[in-house]
Amino acid sequence: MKSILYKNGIFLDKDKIIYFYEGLYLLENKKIEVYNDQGKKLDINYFLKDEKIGLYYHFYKLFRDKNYIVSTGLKFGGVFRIYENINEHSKWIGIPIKDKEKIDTYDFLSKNRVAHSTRKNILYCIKKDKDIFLEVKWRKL
Amino acid sequence: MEKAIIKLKDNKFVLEKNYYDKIGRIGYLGGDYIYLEPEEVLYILKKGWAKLDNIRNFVDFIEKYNNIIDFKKYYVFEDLRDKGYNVKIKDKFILLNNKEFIYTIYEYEFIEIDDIISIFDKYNITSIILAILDIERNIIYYEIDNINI
Repeated sequence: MKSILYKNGIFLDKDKIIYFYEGLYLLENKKIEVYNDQGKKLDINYFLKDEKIGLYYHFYKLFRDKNYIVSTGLKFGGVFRIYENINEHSKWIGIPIKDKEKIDTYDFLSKNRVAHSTRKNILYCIKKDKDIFLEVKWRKL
Repeated sequence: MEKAIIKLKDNKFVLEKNYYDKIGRIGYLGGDYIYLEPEEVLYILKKGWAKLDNIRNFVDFIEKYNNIIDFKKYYVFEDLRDKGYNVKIKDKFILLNNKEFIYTIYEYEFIEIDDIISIFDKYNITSIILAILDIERNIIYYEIDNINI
């Protein structure tokens, strides 16, 4: 099993950075082992203690398990960009949110403006007893 | 044809049903009357399609009934009617083409996810249109679909 260094908030495979949530996914699926710079082995629960990381990872894992391709959505103003097929534009910009969370209207508009201009849709992923997915599309009326 | 006069009957705005075409088929037909929401009355008065007892014009109507007019709904109703869409008022929503629910918020309000989810549950629908209204009365529309992944 490959050993990966976790330092300064990133997973390092020699000089290559592994996408954070992919690192967690590989760790949980026992494809890698992760150590900090003190040589201490870290397990998945070490990372999932953080509520936001736990929320984001919940959805990263869900999409990966359903064979979607998931990567960072940062440059599109979201958390994930989600592909059905890597040879096409990503379908969604994924934004995980907590149950009962309120969305700022200006944030909603700016994210949707970017998504629309890059031929994607925003997908709000809401963690509830049964996860809910709200896809947003600009509508010309 | 004589002037259409909207009346208050049991706290509801009503108009005789033979004026239905004259007022652009706005409102719900029930018995001998067309039942109108305050926002629909405002639109009709503004267009000059009917009068209201003891009210000179739509400005008077706003002054007298501003406590029951939902202006968020009104601006969306007006925007879509003027663009030629079939819109009606249902509860706190605008109903587009008798099937799509439009939920309106002002630009400075928050989008409450729980509210949207409860609308899906209450009306057994999987899609709504969110209308965001800014201070200049520009309206931006988004469709929100509850999808399965």
